[in-house]
Amino acid sequence: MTSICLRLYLAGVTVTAERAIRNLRQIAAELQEKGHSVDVEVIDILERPQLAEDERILATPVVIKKLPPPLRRIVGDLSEHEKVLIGLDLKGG
Amino acid sequence: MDAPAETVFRSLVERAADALLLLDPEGRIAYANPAAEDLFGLPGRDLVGENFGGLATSEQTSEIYIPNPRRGLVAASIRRASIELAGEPCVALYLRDVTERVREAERLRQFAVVFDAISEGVMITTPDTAIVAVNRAFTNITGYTQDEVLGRTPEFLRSEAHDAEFYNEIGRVLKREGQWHGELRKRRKDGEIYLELLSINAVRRDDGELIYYAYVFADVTSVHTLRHRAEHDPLTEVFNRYAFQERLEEEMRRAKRYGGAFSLIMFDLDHFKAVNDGYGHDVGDEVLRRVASLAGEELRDGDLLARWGGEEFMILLPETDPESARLVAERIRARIARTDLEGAPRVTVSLGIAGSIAGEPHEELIRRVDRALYQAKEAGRNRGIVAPEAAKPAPGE
Repeated sequence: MTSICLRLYLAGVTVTAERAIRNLRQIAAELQEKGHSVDVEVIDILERPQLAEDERILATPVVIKKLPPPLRRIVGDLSEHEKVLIGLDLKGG
Repeated sequence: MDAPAETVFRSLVERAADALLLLDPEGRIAYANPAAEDLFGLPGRDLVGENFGGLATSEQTSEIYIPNPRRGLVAASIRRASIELAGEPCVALYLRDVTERVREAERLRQFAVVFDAISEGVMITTPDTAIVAVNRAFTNITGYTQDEVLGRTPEFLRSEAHDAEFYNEIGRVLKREGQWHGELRKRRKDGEIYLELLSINAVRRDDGELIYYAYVFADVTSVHTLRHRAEHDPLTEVFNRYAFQERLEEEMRRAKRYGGAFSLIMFDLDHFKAVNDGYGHDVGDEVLRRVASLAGEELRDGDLLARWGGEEFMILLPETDPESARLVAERIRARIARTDLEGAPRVTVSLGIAGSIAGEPHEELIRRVDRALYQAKEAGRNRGIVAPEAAKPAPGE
């Protein structure tokens, strides 16, 4: 069992952003079914612009895997779950 | 790639309108073209080396939002291609600025919500009046669904209340002025006639070419019914005393401002009590209805007939001198005197006629016309008498 921490950065309520939230929740549920503990945080960079700068966000929606290392990021509406898992290096577990 | 070819390709990429990013297998930016610098609002040296990350997005909707420090949030469509550069695998991202398109789409969504939420019916037609869009209120008011009307011309909504010339005139006004406002009677799908308050506006392109007509209308049938009830006598369907006094005051204001004159005719059925007593009130009511209708037929456009009380009627004749009013009064008298009323005795009327005098209060004018009517009765009935301009006491007063 791994402790996974995912942060999704959005810029306001858009169709793409809503789709990204839905996809990330599904991915988190899949990971939980495999016995991982998953912590998902959604952050709107329009409300917290400083956070976007600190994280050097170039484009949204973007999900950043804070834990476990290594740090990984995936841009887009996250509709391709396989690609998200591979890209975040979460495929193995 | 040989050196000259590389120079050519580099210059193509640098001049491209679309932004191009090359990412290494870890998702770090290895190259950004000038369009990418614009899109992200960062110089190339700040972009190169940054972790863009992987891309996981569906094919059809691949929009991302970029917090551009100079322009604020910009929207971009994104496409990804895996390529090999100098033997190394890498990822090319093509980004196109779609901020305007996204904003436009949002505006359209707002309009679409309003379009269907408002209570006014909306109909959009081409310049040759083929319907291209209607809203929900259109269906609520007319009974026709969008599918039933798209592509048709709106003639199926016409009622017999207006002739072809009426619609031709609307067309001419629209051509000339680009808009038309008015009330008209239309027919719902179930055949019911309703009263519509309509605005038509021409929709033009920036270069002035006509592309659409926008019709916005409200069903004012119930408003109209209420107004009609408030202003009309329920028995004879002519105006009531209240509505007459309003119109009279309006006419006096107009006469005062523009210096015109107008006249009044007041008339009364002769021996009406005998009709009621001898034939019953139902026949009496029918006689009142017929007399009002006959008098109405002898009026000209703009004249206004009202029931003043019991068997008394009043007529307002705008821009009419007493002599012309006397001719109208005589026509009414003759018409009623020669008409057989079904199931009722023939009746006659006596009439008073008075022309307005500048500065005279309307109570005084009404007193003069009332006195003239009284004199007509005294003189033997079935006749009209014109009131003298200076109020003289009537005989016996």
